[in-house]
Amino acid sequence: MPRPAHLDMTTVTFGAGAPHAPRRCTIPLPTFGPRPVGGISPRSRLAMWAAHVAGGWSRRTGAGSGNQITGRVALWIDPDLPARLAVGRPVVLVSATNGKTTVVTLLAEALRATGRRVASNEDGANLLPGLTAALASDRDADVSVLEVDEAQLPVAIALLDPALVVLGNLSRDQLDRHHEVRALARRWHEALAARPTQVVATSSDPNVVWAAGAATWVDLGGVQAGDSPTCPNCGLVLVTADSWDCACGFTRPPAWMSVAGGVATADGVDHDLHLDLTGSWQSANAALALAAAMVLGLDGRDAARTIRHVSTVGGRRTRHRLPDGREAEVVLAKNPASWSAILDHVTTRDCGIVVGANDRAADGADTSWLWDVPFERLRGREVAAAGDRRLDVAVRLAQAGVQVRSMDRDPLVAARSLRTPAVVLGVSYSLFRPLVTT
Amino acid sequence: MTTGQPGVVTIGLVYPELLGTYGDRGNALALASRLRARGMPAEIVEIRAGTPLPASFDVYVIGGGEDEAQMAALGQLRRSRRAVAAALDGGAQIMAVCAGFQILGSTIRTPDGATVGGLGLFDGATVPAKRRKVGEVTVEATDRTLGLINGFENHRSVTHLGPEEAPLGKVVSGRRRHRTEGLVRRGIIATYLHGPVLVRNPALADAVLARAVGPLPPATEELSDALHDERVRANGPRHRTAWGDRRANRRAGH
Repeated sequence: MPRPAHLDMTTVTFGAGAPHAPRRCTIPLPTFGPRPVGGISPRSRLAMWAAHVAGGWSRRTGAGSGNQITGRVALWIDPDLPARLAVGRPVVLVSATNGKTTVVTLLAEALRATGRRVASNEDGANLLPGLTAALASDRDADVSVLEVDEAQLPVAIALLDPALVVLGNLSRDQLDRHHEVRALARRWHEALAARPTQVVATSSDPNVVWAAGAATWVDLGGVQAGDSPTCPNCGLVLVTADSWDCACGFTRPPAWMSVAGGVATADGVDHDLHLDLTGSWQSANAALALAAAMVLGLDGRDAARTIRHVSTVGGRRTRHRLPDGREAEVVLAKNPASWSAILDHVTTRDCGIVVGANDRAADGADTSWLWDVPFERLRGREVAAAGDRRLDVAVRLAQAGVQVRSMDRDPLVAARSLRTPAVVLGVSYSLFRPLVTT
Repeated sequence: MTTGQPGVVTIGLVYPELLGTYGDRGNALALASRLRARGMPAEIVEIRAGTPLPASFDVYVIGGGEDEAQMAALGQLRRSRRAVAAALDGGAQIMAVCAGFQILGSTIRTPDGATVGGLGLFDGATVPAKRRKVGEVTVEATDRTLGLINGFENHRSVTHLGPEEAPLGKVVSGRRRHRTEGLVRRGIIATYLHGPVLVRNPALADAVLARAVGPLPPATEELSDALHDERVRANGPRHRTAWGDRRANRRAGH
């Protein structure tokens, strides 16, 4: 499918300069006004109409948010629909193990603040049907910002020809589905090599650095090499501390932007990223969103200001009141990476913690990752176990030397036993979802 | 490396950064916990990649890992083969899971067709299977005192045991039903099951320890026992109706 003329200027030449030199290429966003209409065929129209009907039915009957079924019906009638819908406006794809939805929300808000219409899947429907529904939801949007499941990123890149790809961390998550972190990195690497694109990526994760090849690098603080014990380039054991330097020549690239203590620094300018969103880990997500916004040509100060004042992600309601009036904060805790951020967060506060794990499709059927979380850090705290797999959680906590105060399938019920002024509920996806949408 | 105090059972966790992708460090914690429940002192020592293995541990715990990490670990363990063989001669036990299981065998054929030699501590060849095996598994142990063993498998290759080798048991629920699972021989218990397997199966953890340090007094850990029963109830052979499984159900008391 030919790219529309106004996008040709966004093509970036690779191989110029040192591969790891800090750099930032700007993709000019199209100006406002009518865009060339992509190849929307009668078949595509039929697909969108049928999908619209199916989605409306799904919402009315309460079966779901409607985006999954909308996308499925549309793809069934016209498999080319996402590609057709992507023509004529730049598509930004965001993928990572953790923080996808947050980065998409922050970047979309930064773009909206400049008056642009943005189509995005902030509801978290990040498989191909969800992307299709998001693209179809606003055909007059100036730009699409889409979060993509890690495993579907290669397909999405091939299909949507993105103007920019934003890559966060890659860590162990749903291994029953993804099998190996390194295999995912390899598929990202191949997809990006086959379709060179502008990339904004973390320089903190060796797997991602290797997968991206060349990018505008963002140092998210330290090195997260827990899932790259060997060099992704040559297979030798990779020794990492603040950086890495393999014998094969694979090294940590110098970053264009780095974030520390809630401040992102790029080109010598500091951007305050103390956010309205809670959680110290969010500044890393904010830095990725800010870097992406700046690569898209937005003013850094304006974008940072918008990002700072975003207070909810994807319409998620993360604060609850327990029956006795105490506050419970809901946090998505789906793998060792998210728990390590949450443990940093809670150890500085006087709060009880509910550890909740399910093993449904959205969580991953294998809960053995609980044993890779340093729950030893919760010793002496008020802790409860929740979810379908609360027994696994309780045994893990007990062996970490943590006393489990109570167990209940429902995290809000489990929270009642904790005698602290506030409670943090760290729960896996299928527990998280109903808590934040009610 | 170890304190070497008499009476302290030392558990060596082998290269956890390479062979620790599926929470298998929990196996070392489970062994220590079983000993603690009996008032016996235990010490877990992590052996980092790049360090040769000492021959002095009572139990060596080797976990699962990704393909490249497995090959890196195998390269390093080859240099420690003598120490491991000496430890086994001295009565030590190896508890190996998944990639760790494969490493101990005679050969491993990689998905790209190359065959590499393993440590040769048992007679068995690992070859890629047609499709990846992922999911909950329940095994009826050959040693009836162990009962049903439950875990989660996630592997691309399978290991064919030589004629002289004995499996850990027979799969009664899961993807590989009626096939054998794992390996038991002098000094080694190996399996494909994660979970971690010794956390979910206290009886298996006790078997590993008894083989390393001699008969143990009985002990109960209520939470661990409840977890084992819940996992077997959720995934055990109860749901299957095949004739052989009905027999297994009766034996298991369902």
